[in-house]
Amino acid sequence: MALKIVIPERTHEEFGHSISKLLPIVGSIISTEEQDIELDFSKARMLNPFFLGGIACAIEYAHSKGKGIKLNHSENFRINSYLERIFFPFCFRPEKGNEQSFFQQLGSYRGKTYIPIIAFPTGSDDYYSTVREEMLSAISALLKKQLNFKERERQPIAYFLDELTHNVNDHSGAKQGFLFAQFYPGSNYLDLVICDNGKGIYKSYEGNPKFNPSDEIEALRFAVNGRSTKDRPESKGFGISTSCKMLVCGLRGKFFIWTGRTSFIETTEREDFVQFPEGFTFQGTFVALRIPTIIPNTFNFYEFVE
Amino acid sequence: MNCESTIQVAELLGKTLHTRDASRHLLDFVANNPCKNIELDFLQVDYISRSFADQFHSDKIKLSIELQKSIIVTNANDEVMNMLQSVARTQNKSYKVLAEVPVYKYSNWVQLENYLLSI
Repeated sequence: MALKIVIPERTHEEFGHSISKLLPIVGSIISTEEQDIELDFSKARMLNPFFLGGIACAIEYAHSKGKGIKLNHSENFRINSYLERIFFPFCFRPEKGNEQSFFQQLGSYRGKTYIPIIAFPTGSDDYYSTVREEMLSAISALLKKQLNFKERERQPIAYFLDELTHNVNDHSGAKQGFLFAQFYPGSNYLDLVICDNGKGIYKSYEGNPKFNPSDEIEALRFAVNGRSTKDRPESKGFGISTSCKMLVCGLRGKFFIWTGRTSFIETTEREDFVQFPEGFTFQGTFVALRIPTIIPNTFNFYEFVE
Repeated sequence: MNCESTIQVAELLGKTLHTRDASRHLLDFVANNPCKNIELDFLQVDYISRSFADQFHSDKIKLSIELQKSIIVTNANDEVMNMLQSVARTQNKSYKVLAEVPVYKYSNWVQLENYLLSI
């Protein structure tokens, strides 16, 4: 028997809507005891990157545990070419020795409003750090082109990309992270998701004598507060706190992070930690950012950099 | 060795510098240079990330103490300078207290879904 998941027709524009659709699906993918997972996209039309990025990450996790993955969308012409172009669910990644082809193909998204779901490698040996460095440059340049941004406008997006991918590299213990973005020109925002299948924030503090969180909420409090899991003078901690402050207070955007059964949400209207019921677990860390693309005149990037 | 040397950062690492590893690589290069006075020429470097700047700041101090190296940044554009200064200014940050941020616990899906739909 396969676990069959029916993908909804669409996710709506409201920030929390796609997250509310994502939670139970990720929960079932992670916890299923079935050997195969079938995703039924036959009714799907419009799906947001938070939703698709989160599912791709969970699928990668299930696949790594030996689960069979089947997609049913070939008859649905409203979405199948989009899913192929974004490399759903197995992501776009450079092959060792063939990196140039990856960057050339990435460049072909210049005229689009989205980038593919990119799997970026972690690790600090020369090869992986060079590839990651080049990927971040290429993605930042690509988004700048897609959004028709000037240098000043590009700064915060480059900052979010850098900080959140560094978190995956430095703290998650995952072999790779995932990154996906879609620009909505009619609504003037960019949705960006960065996630991983690593150990999650609570476990990343494990064994650290400096911070010894008693539970997931406290660990997330530390992370949102900017306290590093690395007891090193050069480490200034998770870039979550500054990214969140810049996004919400500076750009009036929205921020959501989910790790284990815990999340933190910050918008201009609210700032909450939320503990989910049993079964709604994200295996690593999932971060969703809604980034307004009209930058307020009062915004000063350097006010938020620490 | 009491001599001067100039390192072209863009030639060594590229025009945009995102990672801590890039900074470590640069400062390793400086450490292996026999000269005591090193100029890091940031001409044509368009962007450095906060992580690069943070790593650069601490490694630069470490090198100057441990190896008695004098490292001078030259030809950095405004953006690079602002990032380096912002990071240097906030090295000893104090943590804000988040204890007052509320925690909501949900034991059933319907309530949680309603919460998420309200964001």
